[in-house]
Amino acid sequence: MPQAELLPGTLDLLILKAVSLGAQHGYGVLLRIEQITGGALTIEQGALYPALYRLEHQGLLDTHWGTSDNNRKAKFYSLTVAGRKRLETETHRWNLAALAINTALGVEEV
Amino acid sequence: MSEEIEFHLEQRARDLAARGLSPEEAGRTARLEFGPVEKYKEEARQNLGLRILDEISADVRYAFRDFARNKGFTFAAIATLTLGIGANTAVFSVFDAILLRPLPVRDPEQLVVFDWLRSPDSMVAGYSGYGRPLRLTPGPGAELGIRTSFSALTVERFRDHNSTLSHVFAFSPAPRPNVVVNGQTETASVLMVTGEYFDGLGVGAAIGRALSPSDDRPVGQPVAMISQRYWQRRFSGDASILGRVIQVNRIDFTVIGVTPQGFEGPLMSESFDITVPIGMASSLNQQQGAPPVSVWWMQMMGRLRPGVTREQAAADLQSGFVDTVRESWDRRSPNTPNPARRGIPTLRLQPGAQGPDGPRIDAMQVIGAVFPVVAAVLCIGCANLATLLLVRASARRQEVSIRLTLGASRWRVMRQLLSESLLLALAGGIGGSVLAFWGKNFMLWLPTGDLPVVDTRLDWRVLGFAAALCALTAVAFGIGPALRATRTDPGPALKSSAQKGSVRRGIVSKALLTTQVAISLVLLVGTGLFLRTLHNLSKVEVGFNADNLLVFQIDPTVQDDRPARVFDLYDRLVDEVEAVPGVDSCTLSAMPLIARRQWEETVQADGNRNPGSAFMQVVRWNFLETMGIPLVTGRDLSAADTQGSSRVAVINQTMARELFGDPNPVGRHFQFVDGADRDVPIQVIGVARDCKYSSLEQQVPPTLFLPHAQAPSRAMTVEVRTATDPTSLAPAIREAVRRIDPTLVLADMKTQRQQISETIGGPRAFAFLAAVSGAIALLLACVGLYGVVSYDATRRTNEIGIRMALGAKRSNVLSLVMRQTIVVVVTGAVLGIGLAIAAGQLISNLLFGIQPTDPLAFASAVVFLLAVAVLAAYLPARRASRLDPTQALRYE
Repeated sequence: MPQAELLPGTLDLLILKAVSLGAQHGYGVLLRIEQITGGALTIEQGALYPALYRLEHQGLLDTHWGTSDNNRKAKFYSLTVAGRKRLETETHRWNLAALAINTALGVEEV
Repeated sequence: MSEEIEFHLEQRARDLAARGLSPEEAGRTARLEFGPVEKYKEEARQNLGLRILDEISADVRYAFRDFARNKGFTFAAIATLTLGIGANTAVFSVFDAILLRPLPVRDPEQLVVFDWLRSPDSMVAGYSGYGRPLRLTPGPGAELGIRTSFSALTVERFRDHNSTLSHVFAFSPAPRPNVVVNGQTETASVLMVTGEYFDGLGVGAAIGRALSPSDDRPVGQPVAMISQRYWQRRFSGDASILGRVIQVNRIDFTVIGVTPQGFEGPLMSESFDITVPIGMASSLNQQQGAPPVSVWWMQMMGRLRPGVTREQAAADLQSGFVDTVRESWDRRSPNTPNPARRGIPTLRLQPGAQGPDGPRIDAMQVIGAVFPVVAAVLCIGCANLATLLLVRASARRQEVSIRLTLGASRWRVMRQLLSESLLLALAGGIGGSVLAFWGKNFMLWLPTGDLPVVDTRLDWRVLGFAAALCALTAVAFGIGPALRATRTDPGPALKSSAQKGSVRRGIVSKALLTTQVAISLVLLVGTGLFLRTLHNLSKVEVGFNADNLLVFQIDPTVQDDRPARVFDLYDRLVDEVEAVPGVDSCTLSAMPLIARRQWEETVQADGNRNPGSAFMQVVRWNFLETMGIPLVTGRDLSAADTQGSSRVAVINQTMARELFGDPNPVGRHFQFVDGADRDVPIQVIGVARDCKYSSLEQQVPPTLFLPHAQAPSRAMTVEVRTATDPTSLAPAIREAVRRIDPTLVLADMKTQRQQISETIGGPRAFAFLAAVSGAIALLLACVGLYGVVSYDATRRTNEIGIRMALGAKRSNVLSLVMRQTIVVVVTGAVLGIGLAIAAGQLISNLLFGIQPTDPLAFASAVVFLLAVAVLAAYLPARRASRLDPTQALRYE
């Protein structure tokens, strides 16, 4: 499967999307991103955490400590109301931008 | 965070292992995929907003390094803060305890104390209790005294007929009570109170119940309340105390309650162990019974109804007071000659939050003296800190400019300066707290004499206030200049280097310094005035030989109070003490001399229609000789003046002059107007030279000396004249007394000199306060001067180098650097003289024998200040004058 570099600024969007499907711990977020992107994007795994903390600091993510599938203590992230709104606006903006770029590059809309 | 990343790595490794990798390889791959852990951690921390913490810790570390580099500045700043916070808190705490702390009762501000002003023709036949002179300095009004006791008539009238007070109550200490618990004699103090006392004060019982009006009856079962402290001390807090019996003067009192913690009676100078109804007074004094209504002996207090002022209450009570004064006067002893006294004393209602002996009478003057002093030193501290920080800020302009040029944000630079200021404030705060605690104990350790120190806690409010003010100064002056510095374009500041501070900043620090000098001078003048007062008091001629004299109190009535037995016991005691090697002679007197105690009676001299007051002494026949009071005319008392022989007395010169109008009234007679001895003619056999009676500042009052054999007195002061150091004989004298009767209680043993110096505790305390504050203020001002002059010299190093290269001599440089300082100091001194003259009026009543504008005090303060200030400026100036011109020229 061909792998693509992550475009700058898109990691936040992917995290919000991943978390919007249900509360996840950090590693779970990573797996889910791999899953929903079909493994097409490479992320340096460590970079996930600064992004998670940034989103938490901005009040887009909520955290709580819980137990993972295999009964380990883990920090779970879930979307706040502000986070959900941000996901919607960012998704919209992304679509507009992608449409514009696709048009410019002459790519057929999928 | 670490935990979370750890979890991530483990999970990844597990998943990888599940795909068939070996555990080690899985772990390695997981870490590889993750990337640099620490880098991400830091990024994450920063994203979380934790970066500020890291920066603050860096700021703190940097500040410490910087403090270590500038030890002089750091030391000066912290010392300023420590002194400013600590010394002020200590001084304030001690004076607060003495002056401001109210009685621990409900709403103390509603309480009033009644007192009255004595005048020579007041219709007061007999007085027993406390009094104090209205003024310490001789002059108009000096003969007026303040009295705090009233007759029972007045107390009852006020209690039953008034519309402005919710409670009126009275009390009187039982003189030398004989307390017995379980057959053992106790040292305990007893207060007699009216039934409304506890209700009026709003004090309840910790256990049991408080005395109530129904307990205050001369008949029925006598009951008593004991203090919390006495309960703990004597009964170990035993809960079965209620219902137990305490004997006071052979009367059984049943204990019905214990007072709450901290409350030990209405007096600041005395705490009471046992409180009994005043109705028991007649039973408690078996010899004489309760004082008659013509004697004013009860101290009275009241509680204002809400919304009523003291003036309204005074107006309300005036007519009742006039009536009862007349009635009390009319009911004096029937056979006394009828004197023409017509004066109604002036009734006063004073704030009663501190009880009748609180310092309330002079409180406003004293507080007026203490507060400005404390505030002034605090101001100096803050001004000094501000000066130091201003100087430092100028010195750091270059550093700040460099940091700004290198891209530091203004906020970042200011945060760093702020952390330095706060660190300084913190260090000063800690030092200040320690100093406050230590200084308070130090001040308490100093003998304060008759200043009643009841309970001294560190005043945390003041500590907090002083600390907050200093911290605020530190922050304001630490940040202010920095703020201005960061606003400027860093370019010019970099180029100008540290050499030219702004002119305006120089003016600010000079103004601060001038103020410091002025305030220091005021405090120094105060020190001088109080020292001169002390000196004047020490020079006062006491009228007797106070050296080599040991005095102590004894009260044999605790064993047996039949007068004949008591007199006999004293005789044996004197013989036994005189047998001690080194003792020249031993004598007795009812009142100790110069101990602020007085006993006043009204006497009527033959050939004089007007009675006058006489201060009493009952003495052993050898008293005058032993004390070294010479006889002016007539004969001395002798052992032959006994109970059987005719009544005689020696009087002093003042009494001869004022009462008999005759310097040689030997052979004439006088009699007492009141008391058991009234109307018995007593012959004057001699006139003794005047000597001081109760205090140094009091003018010698009319005094009469009665022989102990003819006027039995139970409790006596024993005076022992020794050939050598009296303190070295104290153990042998104690032993001699013990041989007479091992159960005799010897109290208050001290030398007469100690006794005298205890009575001038007030002026001493003020001299001490002024001296300490003055020293601190001057020290702070010098630190400030030194700092500013050295900064100024450093700033002008280049200029100095040029001048020297052009041929300026060292003396020229010296005068160049010093000139400005001298202007500052002289301006400050002139301002200070003006301030000191104004402030002197506030303390004129606390001085003795000098005017508040005493030229000597002013001159010495000015000279001392100038000398110290010039020295503080000279040291750095001399350093500047010794610069090597070539180096100075190159100085950046």
